[in-house]
Amino acid sequence: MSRETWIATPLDAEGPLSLGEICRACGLQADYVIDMVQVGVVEPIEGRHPADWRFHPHAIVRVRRALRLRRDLAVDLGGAALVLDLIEEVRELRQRVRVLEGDPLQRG
Amino acid sequence: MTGRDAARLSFPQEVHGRVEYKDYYKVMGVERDASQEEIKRAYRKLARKYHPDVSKEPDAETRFQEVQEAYAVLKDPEKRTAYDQLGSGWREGQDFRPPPGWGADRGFQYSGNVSEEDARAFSDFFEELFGGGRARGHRTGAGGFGGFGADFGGAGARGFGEGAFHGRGQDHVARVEVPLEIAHTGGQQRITLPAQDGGESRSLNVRIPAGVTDGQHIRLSGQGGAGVGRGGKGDLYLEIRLKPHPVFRVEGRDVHVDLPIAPWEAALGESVKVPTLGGEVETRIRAGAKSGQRMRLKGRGLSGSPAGDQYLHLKIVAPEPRDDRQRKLYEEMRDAFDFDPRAELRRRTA
Repeated sequence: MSRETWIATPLDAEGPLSLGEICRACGLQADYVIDMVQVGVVEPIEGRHPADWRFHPHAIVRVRRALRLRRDLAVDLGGAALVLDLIEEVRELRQRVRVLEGDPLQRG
Repeated sequence: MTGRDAARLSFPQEVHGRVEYKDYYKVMGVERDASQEEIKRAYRKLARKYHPDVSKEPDAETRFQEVQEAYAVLKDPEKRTAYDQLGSGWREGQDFRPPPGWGADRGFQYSGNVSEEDARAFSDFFEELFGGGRARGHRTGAGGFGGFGADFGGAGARGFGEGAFHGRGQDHVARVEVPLEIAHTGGQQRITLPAQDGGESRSLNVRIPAGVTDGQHIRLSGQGGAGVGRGGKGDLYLEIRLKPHPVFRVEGRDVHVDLPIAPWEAALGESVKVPTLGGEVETRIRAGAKSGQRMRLKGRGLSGSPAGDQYLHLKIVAPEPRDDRQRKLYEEMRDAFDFDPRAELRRRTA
């Protein structure tokens, strides 16, 4: 059992990532990430050409989710892009519902 | 006796501890005589239900793993036949020991027949029947980060055709549930990561930075570990889940609280103390406040840059009259106010 303490860094707090950094973080080759950009799994926040692309660090989460969805649910990348958008929308809606449901104590 | 036979016969002795029988048909919710098509359909359905990325079931990760294990056996005719030969007399969870000579005389070797895809933290029962991972060096993943951190390394090298990622069995979703107080101030949190790559589950101390929010992802980087860099493969990503709090409800970085106030506080205005994540603060209820109104305490939400706001949802609470004097006061109010609380309702439905 490890006694040391691991430092956690929020992904959003990190600066934009290049295509190469995304590839390294996800164990992918550039071509595959470029395919993912084509179908909207991730979108660069700037740059017109792959070499100049910059991604929000959250892209790592989307890329890896897309890989799992493809592997486990047999969706193609385009389908994964749609699922990812919906996952994020559902999460926001669930938060909203919790807020609107009111006092958790009085809900019982 | 050949060397191969010897290896087989020694197999059961490698086992220590209790092994529980798994009813794969029950896990998949199919009959024992289900067709391959039915099994596939059942798998797809369960995978959609329990996939940790899409499921809202609290035990999704465990359930999904069970389903994957059951499917790995039942979709493979050889494995399914072998499993079926154990007979249907077993109950889920029963102490299991493979029949003598298990694996012999079948014309194929179980051990070595297990793809990496199958090796995702499957049960001891699976190991017992089909061998596989436990013998592999990398499963012991001694210490530190190697075992689960190395997870994303392999896939890239394998090319990108269909199935290129089947070796990435270790890529699990990891979530960490954080109490709101720790999310606000930051602090140490002991977390347990589910068993991965056939190893034990493990717990780590993690320093959570102040201002994390629900659904946010954090990256854990090993301290001084070789080859661990920004987004490197030695890093681990966790999704933050905020533990529901009995008072504060969180949306993004904003915090919502129901604030009960007395009718006279609403009518006359009053200074009240309200709880915030940073402690109690005093705020002024303006005269004429209405139930359902929201008041905003700027910057009093979850910390961060910028910090969220806290919203107070005013809720007028009327006390129950307990004696004659109190009842009389209500009667006086009724007579003194020419008040129809439903006037607006009627106007709108007219």
